[in-house]
Amino acid sequence: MEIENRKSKIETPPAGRVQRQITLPLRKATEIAWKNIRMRLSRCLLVTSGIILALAFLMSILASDAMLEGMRQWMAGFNAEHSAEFRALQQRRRELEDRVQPLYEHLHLAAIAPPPLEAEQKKLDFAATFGLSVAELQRQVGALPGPADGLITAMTARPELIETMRQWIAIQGELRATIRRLNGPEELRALMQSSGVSTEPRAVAADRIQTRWLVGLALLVAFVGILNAMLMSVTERFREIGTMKCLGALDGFIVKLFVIESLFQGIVGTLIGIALGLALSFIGQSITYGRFAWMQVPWGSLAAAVGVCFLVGVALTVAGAVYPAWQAARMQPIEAMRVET
Amino acid sequence: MTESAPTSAPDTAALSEYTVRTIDVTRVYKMGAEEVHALRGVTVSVQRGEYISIMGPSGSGKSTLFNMIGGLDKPTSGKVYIDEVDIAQLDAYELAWMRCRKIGYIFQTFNLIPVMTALENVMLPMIFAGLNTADAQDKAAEILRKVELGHRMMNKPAEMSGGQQQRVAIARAFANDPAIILADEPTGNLDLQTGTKIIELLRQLNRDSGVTVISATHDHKMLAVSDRIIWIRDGKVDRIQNRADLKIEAGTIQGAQGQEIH
Repeated sequence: MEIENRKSKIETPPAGRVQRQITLPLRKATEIAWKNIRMRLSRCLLVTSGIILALAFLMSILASDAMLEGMRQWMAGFNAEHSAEFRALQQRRRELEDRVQPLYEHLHLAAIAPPPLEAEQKKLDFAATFGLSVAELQRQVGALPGPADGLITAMTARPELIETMRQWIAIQGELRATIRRLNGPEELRALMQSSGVSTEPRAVAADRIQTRWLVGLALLVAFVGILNAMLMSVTERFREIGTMKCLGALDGFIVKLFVIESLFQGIVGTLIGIALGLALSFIGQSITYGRFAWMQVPWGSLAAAVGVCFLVGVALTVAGAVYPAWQAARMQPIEAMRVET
Repeated sequence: MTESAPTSAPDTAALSEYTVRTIDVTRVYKMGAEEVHALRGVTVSVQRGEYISIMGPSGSGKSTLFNMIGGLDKPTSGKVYIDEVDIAQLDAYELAWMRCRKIGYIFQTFNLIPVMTALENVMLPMIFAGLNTADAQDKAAEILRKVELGHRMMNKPAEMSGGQQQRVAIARAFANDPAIILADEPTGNLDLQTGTKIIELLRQLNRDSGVTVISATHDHKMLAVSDRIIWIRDGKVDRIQNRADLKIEAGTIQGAQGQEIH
């Protein structure tokens, strides 16, 4: 054994001399931290899933609230007397009503007293002609200008009525859509009320307080969940920290190691959590409010909520890992190793 | 083991040189209002290249003295010199340097880093010492081959037996060519045969490299190869036995030890 005869570039100083331990570059800490994450991937994912859940909860509450607020604003803006959109729609509605009226009367008269058909004449195939059945058409545009049977008989006898019918369908369809848009706020209000969301200004204010509680609760869940996960994962490595100190690691190096590890976990977990939370609230609001959810999406407040969630998630993760790691690093190595894990 | 050649480690030139000296060391722990005197004035000197065992019953202050010598704990009063450096005077950076370069630790529970391979475990102290990765790799591989683990370099601790893990730990302790190897019950978690091999390895490395080995142990086999045994009782040095006395009293030591432990 020739330990003295080595390839090292490190000189061992004589007895009685002491030097200062070198500070390793950040790159070295990153290398070791990255290796740690890769090797402990399953454990790491378990901890990260805690972060993801907490952040998804927080994000979905903030996002749902922001979207609800967006819908309220849309409603308020639409109903305002000077709303250009509202006036334009009303104008359009009158135009369409004026145009649909003569078509309606024309078809109606033909339908209630259809001309007799010749004995062997085959009735018009409604579905083939208009591309949809009578029932489907009724669902789309509402009541037809007359009894369906009469209409079909009339159109069979007088084929020029088919074109009139087509025009009526087009205009009536647009009219229905316009009326629906005009009635949007009422429909939304009904939807909100049926799902227990307030629409009256005073109740909305009370709701906000409730939401604040909910956000507080979500923050608490994130706080406790993330700190617990990180504390656990660091505490089980106390022995490792003690060993590293025995091998010559500086306190700062150990803290750096855990900052990098937790930063990585925090960023990944938080981003996934935010995406999950956003998706959940988008889907949830779409199911409950349909098209209204997308009428006036408050992208600004959503972005702010994402920012808040990101900061909360990453800061909590790093704090939750670094505080115990720093505590362990400050201990005498022998004490750190003695801690039961 | 008693048949091995008479001690050759401390030749006359080295006799004046001590790797570890403690002078009237006391250590008081505060447990609430109560003061526990773990050490009550211990003065010992360990020569370069010696193979020392520290013995004593639980609560005798043996572990405290051991930690003191290893720079893992600081005395309440008195002085501890490691390689002629007073450890009480060191700041965190100097202490880390001492642990990295002057002392190699071997633990009862091996304490390998579980996510690292044997090679990476041995490289770690070298990385801390500032050696570049390529050189560290070469040197770590060389040491691992010396402890006959050349074929397990890429294995993780969980994939190795206890004896193999302890040999990796020994290789790691030797990574930076320390002046002292501190072994805390190195055979405590190993079976008889494996323990014997570990002791032989430590003794061989001690002879070959002239490193000072200090171990806290209950293991008879460990005592048998020691140059000196320091018996600690009630926070004081009870007696120090030299190898020469050891041979004569071989029977009585084992008897005495039995009483001490049980």
